[in-house]
Amino acid sequence: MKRTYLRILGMIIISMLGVSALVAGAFALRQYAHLREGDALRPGSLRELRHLRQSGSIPRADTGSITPWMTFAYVNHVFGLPEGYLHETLAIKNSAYPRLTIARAAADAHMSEAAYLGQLRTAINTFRTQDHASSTTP
Amino acid sequence: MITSFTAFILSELLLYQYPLLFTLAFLGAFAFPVPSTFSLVMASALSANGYFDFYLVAGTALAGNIAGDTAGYLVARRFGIIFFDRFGFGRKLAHGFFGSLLDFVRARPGLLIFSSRFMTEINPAVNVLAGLAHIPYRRYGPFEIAGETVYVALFSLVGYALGDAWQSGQAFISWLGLCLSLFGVFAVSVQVFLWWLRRHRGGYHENP
Repeated sequence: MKRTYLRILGMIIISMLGVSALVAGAFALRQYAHLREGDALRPGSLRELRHLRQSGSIPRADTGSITPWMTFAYVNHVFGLPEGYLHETLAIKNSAYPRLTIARAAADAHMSEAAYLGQLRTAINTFRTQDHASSTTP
Repeated sequence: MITSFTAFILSELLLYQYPLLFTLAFLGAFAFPVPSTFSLVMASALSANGYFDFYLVAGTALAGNIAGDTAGYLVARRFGIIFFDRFGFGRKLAHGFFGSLLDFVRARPGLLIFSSRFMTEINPAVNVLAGLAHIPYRRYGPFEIAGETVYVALFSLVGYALGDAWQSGQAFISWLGLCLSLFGVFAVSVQVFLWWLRRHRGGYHENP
């Protein structure tokens, strides 16, 4: 008798687990479809993805995506900045630069993160404008 | 919007890169509750713009996971029984529920080891069980390596494909992780149930 109950209980638990897994799968698929619609997830081979990114078919990062957890080394890499540019423009004194987070640099400068980010974005946009101007000048 | 803990992990990942990725993967696989899957997805996402090398990220995470799992397994295998004996639980390991659990692990370790690689919370416990059950490494290793390879490949590819859009993909990653974990638990439960039925019908022969 006890064994029969255990068998039924086992079947119920297994069925519930199966249904839960299917529900979670359905939600995952829904999120996947949502990402595809928003063009955030690009399927394809690694080579294809790398080619797309290198060829510039995917838009370059915009300065609005910069957040305080990022390091200057990462920002320099993403925006193609010379290593000393932000160091000089923002007058960063911390010797850890460029292995320094923006949040830390803002604290060092006694500024709010938002205000510091504003300065950083302006500096990058200025560099981009100058860089673009110098590359188009004959 | 990301939490301050997420921001902290991201900053540290940018600062300490591959050594931190390896350490988190190792600690997560060994026993500690660290965000190893999240750091793998993030490092892969950051490799989409070239800051990290994708293959190096996948290789580092795979090495860290395998090393952590193997360390947990070896420690349990070498010191597990001694540890439980010392605290008076040695007999419990040989009889009752734990005894049956170890019998199951000895009889059918493959699916349990493989599927638990996707469940970061259960994974260390399975390594300990495999060690306590004295599963030989030649039986443990192939399932461990295969499971970790699939896990790392899946989450690193998702991270890479998301790239800069990783924030909008957080819900997808969470649901995918939950779905894989539940399928793993489901598959193992079916196997345990069938094993239990067979055992109680008298058709089961325990390993010597």
